[in-house]
Amino acid sequence: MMNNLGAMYRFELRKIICRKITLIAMTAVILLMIAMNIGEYVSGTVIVNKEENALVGRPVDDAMFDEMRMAVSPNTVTMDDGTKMSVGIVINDSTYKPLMDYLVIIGGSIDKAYAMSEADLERRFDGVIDDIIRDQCLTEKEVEYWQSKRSQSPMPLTYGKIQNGWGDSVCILYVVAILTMISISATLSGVFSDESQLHTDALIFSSRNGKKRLVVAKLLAGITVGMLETFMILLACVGTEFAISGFDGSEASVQFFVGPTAMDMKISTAFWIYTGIMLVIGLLLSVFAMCLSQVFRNSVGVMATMMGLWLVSMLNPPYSWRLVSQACSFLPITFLGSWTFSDYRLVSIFGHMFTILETAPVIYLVSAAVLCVLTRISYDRYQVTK
Amino acid sequence: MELVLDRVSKQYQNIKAADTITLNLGVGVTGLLGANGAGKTTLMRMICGILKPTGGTISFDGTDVSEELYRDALGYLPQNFGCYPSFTGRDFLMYIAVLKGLDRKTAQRKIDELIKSVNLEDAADRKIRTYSGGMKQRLGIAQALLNDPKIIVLDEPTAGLDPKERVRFRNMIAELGKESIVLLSTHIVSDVEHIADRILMMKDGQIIWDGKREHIPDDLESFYLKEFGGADDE
Repeated sequence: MMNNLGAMYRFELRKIICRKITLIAMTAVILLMIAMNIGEYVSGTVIVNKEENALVGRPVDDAMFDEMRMAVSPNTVTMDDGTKMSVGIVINDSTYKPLMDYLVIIGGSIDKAYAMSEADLERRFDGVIDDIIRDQCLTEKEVEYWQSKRSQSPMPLTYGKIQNGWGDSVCILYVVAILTMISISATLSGVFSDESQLHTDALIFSSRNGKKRLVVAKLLAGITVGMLETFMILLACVGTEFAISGFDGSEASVQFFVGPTAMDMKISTAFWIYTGIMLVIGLLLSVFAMCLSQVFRNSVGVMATMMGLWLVSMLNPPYSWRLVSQACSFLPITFLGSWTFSDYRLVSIFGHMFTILETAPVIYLVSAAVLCVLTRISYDRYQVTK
Repeated sequence: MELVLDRVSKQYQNIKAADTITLNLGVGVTGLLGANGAGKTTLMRMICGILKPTGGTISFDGTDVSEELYRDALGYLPQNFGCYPSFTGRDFLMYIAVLKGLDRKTAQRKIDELIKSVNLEDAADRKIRTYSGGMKQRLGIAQALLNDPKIIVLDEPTAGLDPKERVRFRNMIAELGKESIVLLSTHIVSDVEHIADRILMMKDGQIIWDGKREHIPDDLESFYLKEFGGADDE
């Protein structure tokens, strides 16, 4: 008698891929992703600005701000009471428009952005980071850690191309995670539960390989499809982002895209870290969906639970509940947002401090392994009663 | 060859689906009769190792039901036989052969042989979703026999078959009973009457009658109705 793991794996792959819902979910999600990105471009939310390349590599200092003030100016209107108010920007030279837009976000208003100096910008950065450190109730060790990191981040900033595919991709990856969760929950919810619904479980559990080894083939096939699905959705997203905004600007600081952060790095580094974490999230979601499918033996229950997890991810417990709040920050579906770059709570393991970006992939991999073991245990205990 | 059930019980909360059943089954066809809810399917599931007894042991020539060697000797057609609608009949049989641990060459040979014997030659390469109920049942019988089992458990094997096919299967089962232990559950008394060497009757989780066909004084159907107080609703 043979183990036939390879043959079982191929059959299980086929069973998953042949489900109509797999093709429908994947196609719908990929098309939605592409349509969203193209829609932003067509509606003008994303504007490709090649002129700003002239500023790349220069320090964002007072000289650059003076040039900006020559190129753009606030569009002011006089109110009934005689006060003046800026309601927009008049652009004379679009080279400086992305910088002005960025300063409006940092400064909080058009007037503050227009009047910004190098010292103001540095103060604003310090203020935002200090506020976050205070809000998150960090320990002395954590504050020390981030102060040392901040001292390594040079000010003034070096200008990096603000509108580029790298940054646009990093900022939209949280949507990819949500869509991947929806797609995976539809695709893999039936890996185990379909056997009960089709009444094939009796045949499986009365056979040599079905009782012991099929669970491994099912998990491997599910992981393969889940990872492939994640990769395809990711590719559809970043592919259109890069196609629209280009590959330039990989050297730009992440601060231009996620706001002031002590977690400074190049945007391309952030992109690769987020892409890697997204793939690990795809793995975790795949195993989670299959574990639920085995435990519930009901596809609808799997999808409902995964949607529930998404809702739970949106909860934002106060920072003072340190353990709960920090645990929630690791929930995978809402992990890949710009907010993660402002989470300074560290995880201490054997005296070493690790950031959220360093800890998350390890936690996800360990969780996926634990879920695989739980699935196996549940499978071994399963009895055919219907 | 002997299949031994030693004080096998199954309790679902307050209901005893199988109550301390002790049986020795040898080569031949054993028919299992009983009304709905008598515990036939529970007993068959326990024999197939897909439902754990709450008490007692089941073994085949000393091999416990939980061991792989036991499953190697087992062929099972469940009552609600399920299959994958998107597979062809041949693919489905290959899948079950893979689960049973057969190598590719042996599986191919056995599949060809069984497709012929269950009369599915014309439909073997069609998707199962196009099969009639009777064709699915024939496919179910074929999958149970893929590994040349020594223990064959058939739960309502003739359900959904037309009279011609039923006769064909009765003969097939009788043939299998010459070399294997065949346990056959059915609500069609005439099926058992024609092919079973030994008859078991179940009621409320217990075997209430165990004997050879020739020991039944009148015709089986009347005897069966008498034993169940005329309350057979199957």
